[in-house]
Formats: sequence, structure tokens, C-alpha cells
Amino acid sequence: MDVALVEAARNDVEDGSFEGEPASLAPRRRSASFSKEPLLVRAVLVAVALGFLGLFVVLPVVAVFAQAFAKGTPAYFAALSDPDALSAIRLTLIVAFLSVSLNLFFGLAAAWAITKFRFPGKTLLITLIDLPFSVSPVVAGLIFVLLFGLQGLAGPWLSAHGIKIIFALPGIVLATLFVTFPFVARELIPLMQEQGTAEEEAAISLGASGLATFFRVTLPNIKWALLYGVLLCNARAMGEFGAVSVVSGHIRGETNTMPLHIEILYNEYQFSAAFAVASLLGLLALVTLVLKTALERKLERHS
Amino acid sequence: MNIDIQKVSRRYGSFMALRDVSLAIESGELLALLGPSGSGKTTLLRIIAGLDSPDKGEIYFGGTDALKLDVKKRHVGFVFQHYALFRHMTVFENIAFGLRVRPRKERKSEGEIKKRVDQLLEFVQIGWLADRYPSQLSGGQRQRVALARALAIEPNVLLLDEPFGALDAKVRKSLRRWLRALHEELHVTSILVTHDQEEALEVANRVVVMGGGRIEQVGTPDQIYDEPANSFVFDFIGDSIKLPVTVESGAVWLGTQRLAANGHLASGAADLFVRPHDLSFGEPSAAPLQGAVRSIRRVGSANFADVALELREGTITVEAAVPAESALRAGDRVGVTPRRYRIFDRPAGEMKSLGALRG
Repeated sequence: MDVALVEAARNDVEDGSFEGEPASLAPRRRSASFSKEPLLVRAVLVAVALGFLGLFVVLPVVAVFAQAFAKGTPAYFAALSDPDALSAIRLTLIVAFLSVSLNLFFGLAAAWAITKFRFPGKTLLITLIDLPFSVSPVVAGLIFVLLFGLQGLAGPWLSAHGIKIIFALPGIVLATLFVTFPFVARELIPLMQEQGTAEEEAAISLGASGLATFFRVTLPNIKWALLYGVLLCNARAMGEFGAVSVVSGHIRGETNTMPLHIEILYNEYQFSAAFAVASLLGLLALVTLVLKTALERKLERHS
Repeated sequence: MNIDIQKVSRRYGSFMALRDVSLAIESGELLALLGPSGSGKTTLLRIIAGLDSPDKGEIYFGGTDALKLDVKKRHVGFVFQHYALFRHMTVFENIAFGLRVRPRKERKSEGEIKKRVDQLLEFVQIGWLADRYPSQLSGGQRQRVALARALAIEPNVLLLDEPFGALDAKVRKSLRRWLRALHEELHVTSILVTHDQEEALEVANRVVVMGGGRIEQVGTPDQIYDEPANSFVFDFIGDSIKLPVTVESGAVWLGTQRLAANGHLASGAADLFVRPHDLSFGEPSAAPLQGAVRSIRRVGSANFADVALELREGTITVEAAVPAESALRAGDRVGVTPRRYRIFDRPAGEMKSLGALRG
């Protein structure tokens, strides 16, 4: 009886789109019911899609793992436990941790500013957030070399004070930050726009401070989208090649991240070692995929 | 708590949302701010709550300068248009929110909070919904939660922004009566914003009619309906028919007939306003206006006739209420007499004269 009541109430809500239900959900719901295409058309479409996916996604991933184990399991683990490989893994984790934490903060701040306030230059800020998507990562790396390199703008001052940015950890983190900046903000802005400011206003009118409003009202409402953004940001941060390649200097055991290490091994014809390290990134991709699917379900249920 | 609003103005870009609005709200009254969209009623409500601030003017809560207090210090209970319930909290937690976020030394114990929330749940008659989430509630139930949440902080003043706007007609009617009863029990100063005149006239002790960022009239529901202060209020409240009249040397001419004269009217064009049920029908020769009945319709319990009136300015079709037993038929020629009417000057919309032709 109770369950039936809840269901009835839910249906009520779903029928009445005027009751503040987000309109953006409508197409998602509708997409479940496809039009009635002839069977042949559907079969061909599905076959094409699956074939394409198999050829360009599944096959390469399988190939990576096959190559990684081509010389046997001991060789695989030997490649991974090589000091240079370990240092690359460590550096990648450090860079990912730093850039994801910083982007979490900046992305949240940017999304908050854009969706909860009105200010001049807002449109410009929204456009700028997307900039890293449209700039080649190599160019992004070069920007930092031009700024902080020895011949760069701040180069002389930096070297005079003994601060090393290019060919060192700070440069790698900066380049990764630049490339991954849009992920968190992009994920939050549409959601926060849709949710509006009414709940925050309600919280403040009930006597909550700004901080309490953020932690008790805003954050719980966006936590799944935030996690989703962090996940994508992390995957990109660990896998970034172009921008990092420009600023890293490829110093073995010092400034090589995993993607750079893989490239060096490959260029030195150490194929199975290269693929062994690559398989770790492949594993990361699979884990990301599973978490992403789980989060998408959560997101859909909560919005 | 009484609220004194003095010469408040608010501008959004080039749009004047409020122009020099002054209003005294008495302690314990239930006041309705009524007006079309864009009339400034919601802006005024948000300014009273502290969610918006005026460009000019002052607001006093029982003598203290409210503009110096930020939102959380004003102790206003705000019921939002779409309720703005915290979607990730249960009904119980929604209502408890205002009690939980108090500074540590003012905060009640968990037991006291539970007692108070249970009391409020009982009060708004939704005790059985305590563990539900907002998405599992109907519109009327959400409304009750929003009200209980606002009442939990024992507000100085209760502000309601279009509280019944998103509900269907039946639920709206029953909640209206319930809100009235609730106000009679609590006697907390309450301000209700609505664009629905029926709602304002039924629920409130006093109604403030707003238009274009100004207050057009303040009065009891009866005063607003029976003695509208200007053409805007007459037009906005209830159904109205507007007929052009001419003022010539102190006399008012409607069609061929002279209406009750009033010396205060300036010569020129003016408007006569009359309610559809204040028109009576008779012999064409005996009435100031003549016309032809186009059609007769029944809407529920009332009959309405579309009558094409022949005026000097041309033909105007008006919708008049006719008694159910009337023998009028489509095609009849009739004489039309306004029984009770008001005449307003055109440009300023000021009231110039009122009168009745026969009783």
C-alpha cells in the first residue's frame, strides 16, 4: 500500500512538468523508445556501430594487453618494476593528484561564480573555460615554455632565484592543469544552472551561513556531477602526452610521466616493456569507464 | 511585527521594478501584494526578506533598520514559488534545517529539535510523510513542507511568493482556506504575493494592488472590488467593460444620453468602467445605448451575451452577464443601461466621478 502511494506520488510529479521538473530530462527519457525502423536497417546499423567499435576500440585494447604479455608474465612484471618505470608511475600519480585537486577547487569556484552570480565578463569567462578544448596540447605546452623557459618572459628572473619550472614537476603540473581545466567546471555548470539559486536562498533565509549553505545544500546537490568531473579530469591528467612532452624534458627517472616513458621504450624497440606500462594506462581507462557508467546512473537518478 | 517601507526604489538595468513604494504593514495582518507580472510585487517581497536590496529607500522591522541586517538576521520565513525544498533531505530534515544551522550556543538539543519538528509536521498535517524525499511528494504536500520549514525558525514575518501558483485549481482552493485558518491561529505578520485576484481577495485582510512598480491602491478586499481607485485597479480586478464617454461643459455623454453630471470633470474624452453584471437591458428607446445581441452563451451557472453596442466612435462588442430567466435571444435589438459605473480620466487614470443612473 505504502509503495503504491509512493509510486502514485512519483507519477504525479513526472506528469506535472510545471512543478519545477528539469525540462532537460525529457529527451533522455524519450530516447528509450526508438522509432519502428525495418529490422534490416536496424541490424545493419547495429552491425556497423559494433564493427567500428570492435575495430577501433576493443581490438587495440586487446592488442595492448597481448603485446604486454608477449614475452611472458615475468618480463611483464620486470618491465613494471624497472626503476625508471616506477619513477614514471610515481610522477604520474603525483601530477594527477595535484592537478585534479587544484582543478577541483578552481572548477568549483568557476562554476559557482558563473551560475550563482551576475557579473560583467561572465560570457568571456565561460568561453575561456572551453579554451583548452580548442587549443592543441603541444601549443599549450609551448605557452609555458615561452612564459617560464630559460629564454622565456619570466625565465631570467626564475633562474636568478633558482626556481625551476620548465623541465621539472611544476611545469608538468601547470601543463596538465591547463589541459584538464574544463572537465570539472564543464560538468558542474549545466547542473548548477538547472538547479538555480532557490535552495541556497532558502538556506540563507533559514539562518544558514554561506559556508553552511555550501556544505549542507550546494555540495550534496552536485556531488555526483563533481565526482564525474574529477574522474574525467583524472583520466585525462594521467594520460596527457602532448603538453607534458613539451615541458618535461624527458629526463629518465626524473621528469618522465607514464605516457612519455612508454614513448621512449617504444622508440628503443622495447615493445613488450612499452606495452606493459601502456597496459596500466589501459587498465585505468577500463576502471574509469566502469566508474563513469556507475556515476552516470547516479546522476540520472538524482537530477 | 509591524513593517514600515519608505520610498523604496529598485532598478534592474533600464527596468524600474519599484518606484518610490511606501507601505505600512501592521503586526499580525495577512497582506496580499496583488498585481500582473512585472508589477514589482515579487521584488518588493524579496527586498523585505533581504534577498534583494533597494537602490533607495528604507525598511524598518518594528522600528529597527532592516537594511542593516543581513538575510539570516532578519528572521523571515520565506516560502518560495517552487518551494525550493532541499532535494537531498527528507521532509523531517528539511523542516529541521533552520534549527540545525543555528550558532552552537543558540542551538537546541537533538531531542528538542525532534519534538519541534514533530509538532510542526502535525501542525501542517503531514506527520506520515516525515521520511519521504521532496521528489516523492505531491505539489500540495511540498507546499505544506515549505511552510513548516519556514515556521520552524519562529519568524518575525512570513513571506509567501505565489504559494499556490503551481497547484491545480482544487488543491489551491483547499490550501487557501487552510492558510487563512492557519493565520488566524498563529497571527504571524504575513505577506502573500499573487497575481490571482481571487486568491488575494479571499485570503487577505488587506490587499495592495501593484502595477508598473507602483502601489495603485491599498484597501480591504471589499474596498478594492467595490471602490477601485483608478482605471488600472478597476480593469485588473474582476471583469470589466470599458466604454468611451465624452465630457462637455460638465456633463458626461454616453451614446445619446446624458449621465449624472459632475462638476469636477474636465472636458474631453474619458472612460466609463462597468462590471458585466451591472448592465441592464430594456427597450432601445429608453436606454442610453443601443445594440444588437450577437450570441448568448452559458458558462456554468451564468449566462453571457455578446452585445454589439453602437457608439459614435463605432461599434464595440461587450460581454454582459444576463439573468438566466432573461428572454434575450441572438439577433434582438436591445437598449443597454449601466446601473453602477465609474468614470476615469484618460491620461492620468484618476477617478473623477462615480454614480448610478437609477438607484
